[in-house]
Amino acid sequence: MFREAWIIAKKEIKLLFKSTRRILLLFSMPLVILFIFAAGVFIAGVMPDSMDSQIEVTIINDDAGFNNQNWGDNFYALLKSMENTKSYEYINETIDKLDSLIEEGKFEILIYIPANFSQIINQSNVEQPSVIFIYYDNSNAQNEEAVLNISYTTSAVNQLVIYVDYGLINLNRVSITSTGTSKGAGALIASLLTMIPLYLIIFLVIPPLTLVLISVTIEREQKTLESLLLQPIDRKNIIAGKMLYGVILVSFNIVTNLITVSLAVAGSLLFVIPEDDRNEIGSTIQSIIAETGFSVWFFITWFILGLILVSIIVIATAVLFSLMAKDEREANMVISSVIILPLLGTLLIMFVPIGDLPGIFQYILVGIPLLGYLFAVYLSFLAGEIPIVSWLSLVFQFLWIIVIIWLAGRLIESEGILEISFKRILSKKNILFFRRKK
Amino acid sequence: MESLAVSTNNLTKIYNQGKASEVVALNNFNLGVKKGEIYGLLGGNGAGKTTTVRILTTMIRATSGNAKVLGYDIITNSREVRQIVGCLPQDAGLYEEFSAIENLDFIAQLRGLDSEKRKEQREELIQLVGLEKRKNDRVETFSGGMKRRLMIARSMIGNPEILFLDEPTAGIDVLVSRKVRELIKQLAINKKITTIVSTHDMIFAERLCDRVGIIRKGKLVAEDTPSAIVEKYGDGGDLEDAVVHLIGWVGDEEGELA
Repeated sequence: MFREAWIIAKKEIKLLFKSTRRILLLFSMPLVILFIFAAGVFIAGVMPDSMDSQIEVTIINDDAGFNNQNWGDNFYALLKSMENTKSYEYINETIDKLDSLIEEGKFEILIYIPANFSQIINQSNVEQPSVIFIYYDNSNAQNEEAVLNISYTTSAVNQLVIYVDYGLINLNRVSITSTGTSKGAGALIASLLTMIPLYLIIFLVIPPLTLVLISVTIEREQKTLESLLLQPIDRKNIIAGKMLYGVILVSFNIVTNLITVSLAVAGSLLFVIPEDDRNEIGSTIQSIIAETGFSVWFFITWFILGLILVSIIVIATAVLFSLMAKDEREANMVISSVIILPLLGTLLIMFVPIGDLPGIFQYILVGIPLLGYLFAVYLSFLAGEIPIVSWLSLVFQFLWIIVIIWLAGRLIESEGILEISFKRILSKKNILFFRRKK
Repeated sequence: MESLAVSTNNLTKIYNQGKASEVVALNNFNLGVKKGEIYGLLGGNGAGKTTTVRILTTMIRATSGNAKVLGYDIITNSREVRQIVGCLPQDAGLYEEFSAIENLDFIAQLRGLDSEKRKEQREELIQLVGLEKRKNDRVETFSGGMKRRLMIARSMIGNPEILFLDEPTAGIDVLVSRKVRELIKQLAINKKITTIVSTHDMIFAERLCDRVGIIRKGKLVAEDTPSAIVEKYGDGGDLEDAVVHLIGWVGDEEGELA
């Protein structure tokens, strides 16, 4: 079976390198990514800081101090002096306002330093760290960024204040508990990070998808399909060959895109971004990782596994749809809907609080082909771990692959394969199960 | 029966069965083609010639009846049938961006030939169809006649024992048509391949075919050598007159005489 599939895939690769248009399609995306990076870095460089609006930080410092030391005051002083946080507008409030402020949500960022803050820091036998509570409106990306900056200052509290005064004192004595108030902790970060697979789908999968689509429709347009079907091979191996070709293209595209992105990032870090900003980016990434609080490598494995599965879904869909299309134009029209799906999914994530939906709806959503994976990524970021529903999403995506390939297999074995077109399919009943040769 | 390369038994094909658009393409069609002969299938458009070729090459399945190709059942041994059969479909094409050699090589690989045999066969066939000088050129630069010759070469890959040619001279000019006829004759006679040709080309049928069968409305209405058919039904004319007489005999149903 593999031999025949490989012969067909090899033929497609040969044909690919004989067409300038197809080679351009394959290499265009890395170039687009490079351009986007360059433009992004340029815009970031010329964009004035004044574009950022002033962020209000409400502080309730209830720290009673301990042994003539008030770490709450130290922390507050540090916030007002650190490069990343000194520009915020600080408003002092008293402890009696805490509940009403939280209830009414009339703040952008609210920092609450409890009464026993210094006491816990100074009790070396206490296992629990001293806690600062941060509440913020996470519908504003600037607030998310500010919370990360404040969190970074917390470790500065450890290092600059506690370490100086107490020498080898445990550096994990202060921690931050942050709570987003609009959709739940990290909702905005989660929805922003959900864009990553969307970008990946657009940049990594669309060029191979188009090429696979062409490889099938061209058989019909150049009238080679019948000659192919007349050969002593299992027709399903034609599907396998086209799929294999798609997988090779996706793999190739991932490698070239990774190289391009790495070059773009390395170039930006080395030649465009100042050293101070570089360190800041590093610590921001560290903060994000710390905030998510789960194994990054575990997540990356899950994430890549999902990407592989949705890539195969997209390729299989391309094969199925292009088998149904009478020509490339018809196939392109239908396949556009597949490309729109992830965009719709991302919009849904932005406007519907999926994380708050009842479990059954979440299970249904993650079961949708392609989109389900985007929802699963969002839910994972939101939960700060990979919940069961996200694992199930991968199972669903795998099942969809089997279903789509099965349908493509049925289709190529149907005797109407040479005359089929979307127009004909839509005009007939019984479209789901493609009547087999009797 | 042993000497028959192709035999069909009450082969029936109904498209869109049970619907208003139902079409009976073959109706209890019985055919026997002897080994080594060139057999011509003649008839009007929609008579069932292409359907017959497609069923016998396992592209589509008959609604009822059965057929054997060199002893292999077309349903249960479809892969074996495709292995021993070469076919030039009516509406065939080539990979335009591939060279002549690459087109042949791809099919040779699918037919399981090793690299040495592939090289040997493609060179032999390229020479046979007279494309040596253009063998490395892209097919998109070929004329219609050159493409047709290359398609015939492609159908010969893997040394098939039976060759099906569906309208091999359709849509090509008279000079190319003559070359294609000569080529098929050369192949059939030199290589002793049983050849079944579906054609409207009466010169082809008259000069090349050992026997012809005339199909009308999915049934074989006459079968003999071209000269015998002319004698019986030609009314003093040629094979074309005989065929017109046979297919127009009952009436001029839509499509039959188009």
